[in-house]
Amino acid sequence: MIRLQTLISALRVKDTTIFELLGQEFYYGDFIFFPQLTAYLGRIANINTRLVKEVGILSELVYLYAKIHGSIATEGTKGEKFCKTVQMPVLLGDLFLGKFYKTLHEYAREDTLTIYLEFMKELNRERIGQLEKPSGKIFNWIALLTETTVNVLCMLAGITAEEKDILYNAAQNFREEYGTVFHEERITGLSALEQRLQAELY
Amino acid sequence: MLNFFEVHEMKEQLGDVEAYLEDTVGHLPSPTRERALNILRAGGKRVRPAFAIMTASMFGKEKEIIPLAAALEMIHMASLIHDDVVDQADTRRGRGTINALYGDGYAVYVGDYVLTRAIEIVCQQPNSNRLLQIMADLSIEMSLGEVEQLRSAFDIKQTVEDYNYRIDRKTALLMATSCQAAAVASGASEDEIDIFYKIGYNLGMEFQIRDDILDMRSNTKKLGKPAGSDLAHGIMTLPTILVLQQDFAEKEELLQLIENRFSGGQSEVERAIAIIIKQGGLEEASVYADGYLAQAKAYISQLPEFKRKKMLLSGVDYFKERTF
Repeated sequence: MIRLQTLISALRVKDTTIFELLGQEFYYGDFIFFPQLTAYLGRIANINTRLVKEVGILSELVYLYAKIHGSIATEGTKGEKFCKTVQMPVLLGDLFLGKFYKTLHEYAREDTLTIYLEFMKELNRERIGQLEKPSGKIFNWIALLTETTVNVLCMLAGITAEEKDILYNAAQNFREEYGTVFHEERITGLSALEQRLQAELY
Repeated sequence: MLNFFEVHEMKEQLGDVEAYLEDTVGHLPSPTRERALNILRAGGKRVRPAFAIMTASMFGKEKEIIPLAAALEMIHMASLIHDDVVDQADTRRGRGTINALYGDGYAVYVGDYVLTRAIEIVCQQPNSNRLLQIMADLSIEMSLGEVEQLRSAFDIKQTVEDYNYRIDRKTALLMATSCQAAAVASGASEDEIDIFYKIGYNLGMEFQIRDDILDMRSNTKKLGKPAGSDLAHGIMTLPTILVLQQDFAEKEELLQLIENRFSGGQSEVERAIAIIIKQGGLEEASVYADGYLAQAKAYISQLPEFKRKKMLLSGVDYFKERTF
């Protein structure tokens, strides 16, 4: 199981760390979705491990930024509004976004940036639009980020369009089956997830 | 006193930056477009683009730098929009903030969109990989500065070092980055990039200290926000910190006002400001600002001669004398 702290070096804010600040505002569970997703897809398509890990981390950072900022406008829904104040989520989201750009540079993956930027533009356009004219329609941004992740992985691994469709479907099934659980329910079934993955692959 | 914002060439180039900004924001759908344009047109001195243009002019790139200059202003805009949410500010430059008018979430998403567009523009510039690294570091440090400002509100034990940590990240770094990024995009040598960074950094520190002095000295009409608003929100700026390091008759009263978080309203804020002014807090802070200005001028003097060097040297004094 990959823990968040081992993926990203802690950002220190004077005498504390961003994880302590995060812990004061949210419960972030043990299950890290995007690295698990890319590991799963990497096993399916036999993609280089380092590439899989880097894309997983990059997408997870974008996910954290998007989720934390997304919590600001939602009210009262269990599992959605989980921030105590508005100030810290704004800043923590900004920090994770900055960390995304920095990590992208450290991994020398700048060629993927336009794909991630398209996601961010679409995300914020939709969010703004929903606040201006609420339609009741739910914008599934996690599905969009999943698609973005597949696009990035395929671009870097040189995967064909046909194989990409297979990976795309596998990714969406993975997401629908296991979700992006991060909140109050601790993952007790993670070993079951691993068993299920092994049964599918071997 | 040369106001280099009013020099014909600079006015023309800042006009190009404005046009670029309007065009970029103009791609948003209505009504977001109109709301964002409203913020854009609220004014602002366009200091960061001005310094980017000034830097690039040493290399003859003052026209090519316009998109990057606009991107730097957009990064600044996005940070202000988010800062207003964090500070729960109702007005900026005399106008309602986006969060006050349309909600916190809306403001955050507009800020995020503007920042994304800025990064897109940065990616299209020469040496974009290096520029991206610079912007990433900047983004992280600016957020850390804001977090620290939030955590240290009403903390009367802050030192000058604590203050420097905050304003370094709040203002100086973006000024430094504006000059640095312009130098990188213009193909400057490493030594030149370093000097421009230091010029921007020292000017940024000086600029913020003067801003903090103005916050106490000026009035609501000129500032576009209530005087002493930083203090009212518990932000310990340099004049306050320096005065609290002294022993004087009204110190207990000042401490009480701060620790009670000005529960009696604006009159208590004004009383605190009066004590700080009486104790020479503004003059003492001004000395620090003068030091940074002198340092900036020393670095400017190290540059080889170029067309706008004299303009830059005399123009930086303009910031010392501004009243807004």
